[in-house]
Amino acid sequence: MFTKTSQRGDGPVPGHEPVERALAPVRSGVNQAGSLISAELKIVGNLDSNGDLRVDGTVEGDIASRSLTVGEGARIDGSIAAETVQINGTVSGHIKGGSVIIARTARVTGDVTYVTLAVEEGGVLEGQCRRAETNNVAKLRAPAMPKPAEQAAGH
Amino acid sequence: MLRARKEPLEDRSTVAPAPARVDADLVVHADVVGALALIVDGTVKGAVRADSVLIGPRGRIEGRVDARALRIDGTVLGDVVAETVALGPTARVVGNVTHSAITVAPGAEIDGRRPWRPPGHVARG
Repeated sequence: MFTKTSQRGDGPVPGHEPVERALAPVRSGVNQAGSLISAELKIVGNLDSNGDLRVDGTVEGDIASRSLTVGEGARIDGSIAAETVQINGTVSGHIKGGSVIIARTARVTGDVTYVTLAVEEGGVLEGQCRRAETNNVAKLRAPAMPKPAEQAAGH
Repeated sequence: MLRARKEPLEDRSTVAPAPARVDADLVVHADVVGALALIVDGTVKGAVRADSVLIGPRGRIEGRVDARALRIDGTVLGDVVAETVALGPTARVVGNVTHSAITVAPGAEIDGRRPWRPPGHVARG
């Protein structure tokens, strides 16, 4: 309290909104679980998750995750590797998944490697379907994962 | 059925969309630019730009951060430019923190300068 604070003080400054009030919109998401690429976002690069990921925006790059949900308005240009994949949006690229669901609003251009596959009525799939021998996600998503050496070198 | 559950009845027109989230188990090998609100509990290897940003204690950004309102409880390796900045006790910034108003909790580390700019110095969008 009496230690290091700015000379400009930590109370409300005239002409500024207090930081906590400005952060109110973002606080609403604090208790949500899993990652979300929201509709207004466009990511050019790879996403690598060990948890749950939902994409409502655009991703130009490869995605590796435990579970992936591609929202209805979402668009992905790149490969996907995940244990469970639910596609409601548009995907151009190779999908590798344990359980793959292509919903009725989905448009998929690319091959699908799956252990179990569902295509709902209305869902569009242009590509070859191949059954994977493994449900091992480490194997499924190996190509999209950064190499351990590369990760270590990054720090 | 597979859609998100319906929200309880309320006036949605004034409710902001859900903030983008980079969870603890996600590594983004790209810039995260253009979000309205963004929560980073995981790692972003790239620049971040959003209207309001929360960087949680486990959050790590390896790149520049631009925001209007920003709270940092995690690590930023890069310059920070924001209108209002709050650094929590576990914050660590290796870079300059350009601000119009700043709060620094005891324990926060800033390895860089803290230049002040008049309000409005952060370009919107």
